[in-house]
Amino acid sequence: MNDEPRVLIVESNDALRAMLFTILRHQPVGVDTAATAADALQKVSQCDYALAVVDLDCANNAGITFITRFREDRPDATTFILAVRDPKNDVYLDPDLIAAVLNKPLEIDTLAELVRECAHVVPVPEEPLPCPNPAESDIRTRMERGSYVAN
Amino acid sequence: MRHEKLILIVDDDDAIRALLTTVLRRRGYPVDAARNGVEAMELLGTRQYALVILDLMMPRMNGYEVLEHLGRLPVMTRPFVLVLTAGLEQRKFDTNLVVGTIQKPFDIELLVDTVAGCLVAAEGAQLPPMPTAMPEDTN
Repeated sequence: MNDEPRVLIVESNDALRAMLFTILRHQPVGVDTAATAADALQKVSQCDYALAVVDLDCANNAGITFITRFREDRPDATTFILAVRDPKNDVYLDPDLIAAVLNKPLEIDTLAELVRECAHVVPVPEEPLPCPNPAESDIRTRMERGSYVAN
Repeated sequence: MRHEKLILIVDDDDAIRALLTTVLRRRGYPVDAARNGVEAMELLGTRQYALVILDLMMPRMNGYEVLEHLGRLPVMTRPFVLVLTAGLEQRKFDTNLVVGTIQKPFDIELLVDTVAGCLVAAEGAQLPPMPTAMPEDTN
């Protein structure tokens, strides 16, 4: 399995999620995605992510719900939360939950560089959760090379 | 665009330091970074900074101690200071030293705009005084 830091994208919009995945999979990180708060919470319960890119404008408030529940469930997690939002939406940003906010429309280069730089310096927990699956980005890469065999 | 004014980021959180450094370097600002007040003091002793972005809660000399040191410097050599806060600090800052606070979580765009504004102000503050009279015409 790859030792690169893992990054989780939490985005309910299919097109945006696909775009973020495409951008970040070319960075030296393993990328997973979640479309709902439940899906995201399931993923962070199994794997320690260095960084999460979370859209605060997700359908059903999924982004905020995920962040709040995640911090409640795993207060010691070191995951660096980089939020994205439409600046027109006035959302309270709790400094205990979120590290920084990027406004939409996203500056793609900035986002990619921030993820690359920050994910590699986030402290790894003393006993990290063993991620059960390869990152989606690894699977995609192997599929493209024709070397992926599903279990 | 390449800027000339040096910025010092002081924060013990590696990811926050990486975030601030990355964002500001992308905008063309020359940036140094320190992990605590001790490292900051070492850098402040060797280079002239126009702006210090300072976290308050740090091990090995916190931000308040760095502010005390900066407050003792002559006004013309003092850098401007932006303090990073979590919004809970009640302390009143010396407004001759601290030009503003940036509350976490950082709005990246706002942060960059604030830094740009501070550097423009710093440039103005360090302009040589205007002559009070024109030199005499020797012709």
